[in-house]
Amino acid sequence: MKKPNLLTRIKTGDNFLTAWRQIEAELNRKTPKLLASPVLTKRVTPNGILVKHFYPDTWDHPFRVSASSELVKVSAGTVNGVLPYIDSPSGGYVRLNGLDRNGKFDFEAGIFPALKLTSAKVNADGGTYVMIKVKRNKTSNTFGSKIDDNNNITAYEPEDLEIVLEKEFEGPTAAGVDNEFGYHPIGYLQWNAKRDDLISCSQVCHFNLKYAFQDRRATPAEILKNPDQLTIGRHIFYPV
Amino acid sequence: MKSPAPVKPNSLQGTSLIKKPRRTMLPVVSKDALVRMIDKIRRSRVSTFARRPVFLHPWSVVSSWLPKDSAISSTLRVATFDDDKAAANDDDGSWHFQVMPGFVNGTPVRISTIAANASEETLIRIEKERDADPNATQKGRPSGNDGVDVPLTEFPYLAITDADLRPVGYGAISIAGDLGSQDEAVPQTFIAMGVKDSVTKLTISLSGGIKISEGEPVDLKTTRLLRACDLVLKVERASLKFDIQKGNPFLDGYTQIVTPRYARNSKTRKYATLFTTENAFIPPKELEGDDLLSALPADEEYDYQKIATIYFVSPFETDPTAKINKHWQVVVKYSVFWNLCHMPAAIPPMLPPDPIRFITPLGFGMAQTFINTILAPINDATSRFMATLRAKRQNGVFWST
Repeated sequence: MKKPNLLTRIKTGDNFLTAWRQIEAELNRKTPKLLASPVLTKRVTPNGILVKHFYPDTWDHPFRVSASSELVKVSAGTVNGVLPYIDSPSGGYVRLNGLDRNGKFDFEAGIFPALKLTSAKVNADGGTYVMIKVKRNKTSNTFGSKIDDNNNITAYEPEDLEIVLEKEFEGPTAAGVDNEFGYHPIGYLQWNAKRDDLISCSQVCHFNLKYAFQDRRATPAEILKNPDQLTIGRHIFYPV
Repeated sequence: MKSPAPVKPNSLQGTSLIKKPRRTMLPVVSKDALVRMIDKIRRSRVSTFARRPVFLHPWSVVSSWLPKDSAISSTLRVATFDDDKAAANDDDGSWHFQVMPGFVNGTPVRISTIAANASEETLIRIEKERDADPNATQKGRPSGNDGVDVPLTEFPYLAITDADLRPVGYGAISIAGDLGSQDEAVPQTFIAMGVKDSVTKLTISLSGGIKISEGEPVDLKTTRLLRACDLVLKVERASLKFDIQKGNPFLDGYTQIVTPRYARNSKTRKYATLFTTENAFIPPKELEGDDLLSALPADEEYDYQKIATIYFVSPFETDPTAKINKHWQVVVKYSVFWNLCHMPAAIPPMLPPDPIRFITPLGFGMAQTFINTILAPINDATSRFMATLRAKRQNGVFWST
């Protein structure tokens, strides 16, 4: 049986204000209300309600990481003003903007800047780091195969600066004897319990970076551990 | 005498389209009531609906009124209008929060919550970890109110109830006096929204006792209530401890030698954790001056950083004892916007102090006991004084990356 309409319950001759309140109560009950929250704000004014809906959106910052269950993409970003390389699954190293080693875009090869994602790089917490890997130049405090007198990088190879996937990250203040390579996380991928798909892809780094290697004299205990290593250093990354 | 107006000819008169009006009693509505009704309609209609894209930075707090028995998924949840329809009444649900993943030293931060607020994926993962760990105290899948630590990258929920919130402004009590002060001002934004900064003041003085002065009375019809809790990050570190080496004053020349060292009582976890606190967050103070020499300083095993304060603003005409419900508005004030690095203070290792000794063959060694007895209080005091002076807290620093 069809439910009686609100208006059928109000008859001609009913008290006007009583009928009005009935309609008001019925509308209050049936109409969805706007609940204010951080994503939805409302302001009641004499001319009506102003509603603002703030919806999550992405910001095209440097080194933006996005991932599917097979590929990881990283948007362009720089370290000391140069673009890192990435080992594309479509073949060979390309820079993050898609240019090859010669600074050209190979349309025919169809190489795109991305990394192949495998569950072999998952740590015990079900996470995988997307990192910048830097190989320091031992004659300076930066990286690159050719560095001019002003410490500017004039040439660099993929192994000098590349995007990699790693299981673990020791921390930004880690100093070690084996200090040829420095790492800086830019993204973190969270795998599901079965390790066959991703739950989330989180951003760790939002800015272009500067890199420097800071060394110090090894302590007596560190020299005892490795007599050949007289300096100990750490890789410093900072946003610019 | 005025003659009646002539009847105008009407083509429809006499047909069934025009009915003779019935004689009924017309209800009388006052002008004020009519104006109020029209005003209410004008105010209630949605005149503008604007969409604004926002970037959710690390530590962004996304709140939602979760109807009872809602499904928990491992994704970010944005409130919808369906939530409102699903709830039968205003109290049939609870406020929940998700925090956008934040990292400390590149490691995802965890939050302590209950199994009921974690996703199915999370519970399966914890069950697998427990089964794989032979030293795990608990086995099987957690459920119900079992406590679990979940990384923010799995988007766990954190429930906020009235017990987690403190009143700010009207309804709050500010303390001042000899035993310290505790006063939280209402931010200007909320005063503009209708929150009143009228608090009960409690003045404690050792000579004059306790004085209570009530705040100014407020009209609840034009007042909104404010409640808050703080979201705080906790990072583990080594803390200052003291090794006490006991001795014999007659033989050793000291009663106890105090040596500072840095260690933890519990096993260090590599994760930083987030928690909510009802009390307003006050960063721990460094001991200075006479306080430093008065006693061996105690040191916590954690560094803290306030992430945000979560405020709840009530609708107008809310009873001060009322519980929060879906009509309250959530406003978040952030202290941190980016991922963090943390490092405890680097302190060089310390050698234990060497007590003063005076070895003499006087009296065939009989005088040695007498001399040791004299030296013992000097050595004890020196050791204690040196330990206090050398003891530095390992308070770390946070910086954004």
